[in-house]
Amino acid sequence: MTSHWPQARVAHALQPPQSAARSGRFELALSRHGARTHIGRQYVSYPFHMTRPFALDAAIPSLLTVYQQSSSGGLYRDDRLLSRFDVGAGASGHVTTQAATVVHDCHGQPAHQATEIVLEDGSFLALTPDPLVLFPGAACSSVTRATLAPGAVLLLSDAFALHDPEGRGRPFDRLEAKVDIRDADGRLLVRDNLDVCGLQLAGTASPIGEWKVASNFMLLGAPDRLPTPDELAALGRQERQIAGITALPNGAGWGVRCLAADAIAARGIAECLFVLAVAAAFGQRPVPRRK
Amino acid sequence: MNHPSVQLLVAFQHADGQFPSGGFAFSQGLEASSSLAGKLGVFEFAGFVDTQIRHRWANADRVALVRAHRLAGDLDALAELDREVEASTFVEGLRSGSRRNGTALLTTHGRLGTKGAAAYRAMVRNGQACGHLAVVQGLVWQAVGLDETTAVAIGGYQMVASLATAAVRLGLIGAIDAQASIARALPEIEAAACRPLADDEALRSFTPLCEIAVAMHGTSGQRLFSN
Repeated sequence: MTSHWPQARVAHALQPPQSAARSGRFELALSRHGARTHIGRQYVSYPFHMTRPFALDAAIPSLLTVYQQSSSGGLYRDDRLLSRFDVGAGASGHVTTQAATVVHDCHGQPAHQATEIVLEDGSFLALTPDPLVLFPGAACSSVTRATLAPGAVLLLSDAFALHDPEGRGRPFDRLEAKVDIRDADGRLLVRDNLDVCGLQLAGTASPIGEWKVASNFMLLGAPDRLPTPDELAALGRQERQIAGITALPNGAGWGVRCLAADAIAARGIAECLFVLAVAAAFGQRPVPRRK
Repeated sequence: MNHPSVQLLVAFQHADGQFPSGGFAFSQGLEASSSLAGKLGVFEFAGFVDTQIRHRWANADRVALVRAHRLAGDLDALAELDREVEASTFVEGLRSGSRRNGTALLTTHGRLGTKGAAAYRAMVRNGQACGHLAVVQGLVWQAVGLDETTAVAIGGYQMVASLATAAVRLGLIGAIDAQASIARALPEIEAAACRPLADDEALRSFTPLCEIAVAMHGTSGQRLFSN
């Protein structure tokens, strides 16, 4: 456990765990000092792990990159994982993972993830975890709440892939996701909720058709710091992927729905969108993130 | 001999495809999904209808309709719900289509003198409400005396019937197949409508393939329907 953080933020949206359930927290506060962003308060507990932050982009000194790692082998039944990111005025962060996260058979007790994001004036956060890989019997429930102050930019990605290691096409159990985006006054800008069972993704009535990886992106915030529609139009033009780009409700920014035939194609879209988001916000393209 | 109730006859009136609801202009993503089938994958009308019932109508449109019906004409609360529907509809083409369709239905009911319709229409004009279709359905069908179960049944039926009508106009199926499709969908609507709803239940949907089609189709100048 790494703790530089007061122990006052335990209360959150997660339900009380069953006995023996794992409860982990990954909480960072980013603040701007001069040209750079630094980590202020932090609290990281098992199964989360964090090494040092990285300044990968020499041309964008304010953009700090953090890999949110896990020392376990994925998500298990009744896990309770909370992430919280407070990004101070003018600070900038990129939080990503090193690889996809496997969700194992949860035997009817879903793993729970909650993410709280607070962005202050003129801040930037790209929260781009690799996809969840839903094994047979996997069940996961996630809640994401973000609040954006004026001038802030948030790139939020959320993706899942279907995979049966035995190649028998066995479905995951259930995936539930709730995302609320609000402005600094608490007004609801975007709500994106889904609740789907693995069995529903088989057959001709599957809402994802024959595709294997489903990704959602939201690029939210100040219009002058977001890519233009023409820039976004390049998404989904590669083979083995399709993408639909839309204006989000309440002028919140851009939404992108993607479906891909495999993880490589899905990653291509995610990386392209990250580059576009950073280039629009900072005027410089980011260097590739090593995974 | 039993006689039909007035409420049943009122339900027929409002479920009738001849009722000027404005729904003929919208395909809810059917046109986009069918026309882009080569790029998106195999398209099959029955599967599309099932997806719309299970992954959109059951937990989004139906929820909004039921919550609006339960608000029993409280226009300020309806406007708040309307804003929630706006925030919960991810794709612009479906969002604007729902608003336009709802406003058309509201206009018709305003002319018919349905209680609350004209006042809510004024709120939409003033930007105080969005006028989403499911919210307006809940408002006006409650106002004409239809109970919640009947209102949900009409909403589900109209959704499927309008898809079938659009499919015929697009040349995807014939008129007889359209009726067979509706008949196949009715038990799905009943099953979807069975799940109880809380008064504050949030809207949920998951139709990425259809939403991608609508978003891609939005840039096409050659189309028959608004969405």
